Amino acid sequence: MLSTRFRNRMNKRERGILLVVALSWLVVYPIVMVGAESFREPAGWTLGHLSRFAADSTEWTALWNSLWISAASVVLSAMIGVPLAFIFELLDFPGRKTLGALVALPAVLPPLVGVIAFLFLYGESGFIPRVMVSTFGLSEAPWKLRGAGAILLVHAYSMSVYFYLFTRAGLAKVDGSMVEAAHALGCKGVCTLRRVILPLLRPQLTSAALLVFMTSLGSFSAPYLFGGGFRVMTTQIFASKLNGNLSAAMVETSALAIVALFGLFVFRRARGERSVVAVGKGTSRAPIVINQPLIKWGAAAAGWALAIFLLLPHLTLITVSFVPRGTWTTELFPPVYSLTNYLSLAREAERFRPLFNSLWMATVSTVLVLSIAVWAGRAIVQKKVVLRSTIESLLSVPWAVPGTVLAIAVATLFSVNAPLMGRWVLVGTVVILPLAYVIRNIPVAAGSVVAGFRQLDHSLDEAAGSLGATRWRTLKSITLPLLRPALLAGGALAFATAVGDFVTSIVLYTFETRPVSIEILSVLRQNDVGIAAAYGVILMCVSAAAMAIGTKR
Amino acid sequence: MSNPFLSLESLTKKFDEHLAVDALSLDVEQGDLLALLGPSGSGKTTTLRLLAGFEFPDSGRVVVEGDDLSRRPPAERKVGMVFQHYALFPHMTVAENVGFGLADLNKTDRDTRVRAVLEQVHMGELAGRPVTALSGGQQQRVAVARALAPQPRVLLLDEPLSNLDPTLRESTRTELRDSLKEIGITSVFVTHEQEEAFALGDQVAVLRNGRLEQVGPAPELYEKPASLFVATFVGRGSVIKGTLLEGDVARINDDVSWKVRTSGALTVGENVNLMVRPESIRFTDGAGLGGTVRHVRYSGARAFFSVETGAGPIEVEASVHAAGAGDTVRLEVDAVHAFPQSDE
Repeated sequence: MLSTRFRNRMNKRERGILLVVALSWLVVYPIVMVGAESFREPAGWTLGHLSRFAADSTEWTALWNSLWISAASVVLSAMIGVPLAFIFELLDFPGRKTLGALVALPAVLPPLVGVIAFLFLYGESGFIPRVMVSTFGLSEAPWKLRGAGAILLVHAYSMSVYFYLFTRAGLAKVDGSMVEAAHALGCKGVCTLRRVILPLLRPQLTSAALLVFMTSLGSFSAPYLFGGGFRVMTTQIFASKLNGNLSAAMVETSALAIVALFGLFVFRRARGERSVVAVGKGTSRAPIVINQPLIKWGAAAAGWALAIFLLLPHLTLITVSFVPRGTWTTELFPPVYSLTNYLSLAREAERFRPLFNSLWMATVSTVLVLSIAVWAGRAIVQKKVVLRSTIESLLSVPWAVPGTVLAIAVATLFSVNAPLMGRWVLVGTVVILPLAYVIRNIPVAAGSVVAGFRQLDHSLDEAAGSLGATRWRTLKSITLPLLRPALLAGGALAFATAVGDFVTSIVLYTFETRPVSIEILSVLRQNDVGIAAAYGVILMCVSAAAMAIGTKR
Repeated sequence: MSNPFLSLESLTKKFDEHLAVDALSLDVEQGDLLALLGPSGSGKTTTLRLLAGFEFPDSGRVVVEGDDLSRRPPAERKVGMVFQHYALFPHMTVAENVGFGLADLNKTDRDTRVRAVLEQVHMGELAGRPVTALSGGQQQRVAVARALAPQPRVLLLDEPLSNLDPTLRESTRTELRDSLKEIGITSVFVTHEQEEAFALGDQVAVLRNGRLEQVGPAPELYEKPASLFVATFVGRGSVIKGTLLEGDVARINDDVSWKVRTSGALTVGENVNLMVRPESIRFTDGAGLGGTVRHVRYSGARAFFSVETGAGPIEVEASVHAAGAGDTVRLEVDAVHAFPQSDE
């Protein structure tokens, strides 16, 4: 008979290996297949695709554009987000708390919805150009929302929130006594900022920079709608696939994946391994109250102006969603407002279908990704299976892979029927999009749930066992209720990402499974801006509701 | 002779190459409280976890009432456990925590049992309160009530008083012993504090490096320690070198020889370790081991004097004014234990 110890060890090994195999199949295998396809042609292996890529200057231009747009997005987002975080965390002025929450509002706009909101606001026939034309008597819009500038504007608007939130969280943890110690040692003002505060904020700043860089590198909505002739790698891949040049799409996908992994490596190195956790009681620094009336009200006015600027896209979207089709032509503001667009979404089956699709696919994928996260969390933290660090690395792989790369990889893997190779034809079925959402959201869900498991006291499980509870009763009555905050946070993020997804959907959707984002694009092409805005408002509200639930304790 | 209620038979547990519990055998009679006492890493918590079923032994058996539990999971053992940090379910009330192990009872019976157990630990009034709103002492009582509610055959307690402040610890200790004795449940608890083991345990098992050094009632361990380790771990004592002579006498130096109690196989002429407790040695005006008082540590009516002698430092307990720092003194003993030097 096997000894129990041996059986336990077998369990730990089997569980660990099973999880590694399952995760590898989900997150690594598709990417490996894309890499392999880059060197394949019907006759066998080839370097031809690669040499064609290397010889084509448009490919290099697109790759370079992706890189510099991403780097510039990091700089611009930091320039907006970091000072804002310092102002809202360190100064006290009227409306500080409300404004502090409003500044984070861009986070509830799904990528495509944010882009169309910008289109309605700053596009050639948007509100702001109309006001400019009317006010200054111009013959046409003073600018065209196109090219690199437009992409950077959207990126800076939507991604500065990462720097803002991360920096505020870091500043809240800076021990006030450290600043006082620096002052007592003769280092004040800029010196304290440079030598004490910024080094302490390094983990948060590099994490925000990494997040912005990776998001920009994978950004598709803004380059797709505003890029025009300005190609980045994500739009290049999509164009190649659309033109049927699959081999080029594979090489481009591999190239973008390599750049993304390189970016991840560089930023992780920049973050460093050295711990900068404050040693001591960690008393946070109270905000400085501004007493000078002029400065106080000046700061409040600037804050509100900023909040209005950040809220304008949301307000524009809401306004346009009430404008019936064909009623707004040359007027400065829409002359007619009604609920027609919303009623149309509710009453017309074909209009309602994308909403239904997005909701069910996001729900199913969220449940599945949370199940994977709980499985992984239990295995890593509670069961202490073998290959724990490999499992954790696998869980974070999709995060380093741009959405377009992931979509192409999933499409490649699941377009062939070879069950023995772990491949089935899923492209064109209802399964493919939820599956892609699951893979894409593994890092956010697992990040939250594994951290939740780490905070659980393992003796609670043992206590339940000693009181006669079975494994399932312990999971249901003890583990899951205590994991609730982590499940809500991870689930909300996964749901919000899935419900507003555009980048993977545009590669993998079918007419039957088209989600809201694809329908928005479709109705925009038909110039039905009111319907597009109504879809956008619904997505925005669903995302905001998910976020609100996710942060509830 | 009747079979013991609980038996550990040659229990062995290894973690990789580290032998945590090494062929440990122990018997506990029904209704007795056994204290597992030892320093960190002695294997006492591992032994408790082997009893609870959180770990399985590599060899050996855990037997309760003739029933071999060694390979059974915790849920099937009917063994209650009070955890060091109590492990109360934070999302449940006091009553829900206590009722957790009573899933097979209907609601009425469960409520009755929960009420009865909470009354036993004087927590009946706080049944509806969230456990997070309780003090440390109250949490400890709920943890005991929860473990007792399913009427386990054996109760295990992992350092049950270590989370309480010192003033509360003493009164809780008495209450806990009284409750367990009243219920009559066979209990095993882990502690690294000798005072706690002596106050709570009917029997005390001293563990070292996973092995049993000695088991017995507290007075036996204190007065007749089986090894130098037990002698020094249980209570205070000074250790000096000597040589064993005929008739259980040990020579300290050319002038001084003391009558000793021997433990283990000792031969005449063997170099031995002599352990003397502070209360068993006194200052004398007559012949004795000479030395100089280096430090005095006051402890109320009594004081501890650290005396440097030719045989090594010796601690003496005496009245506060018996000597002062720097005084030259002579020492006489009432009881000395001799152990082989290989026993160190």
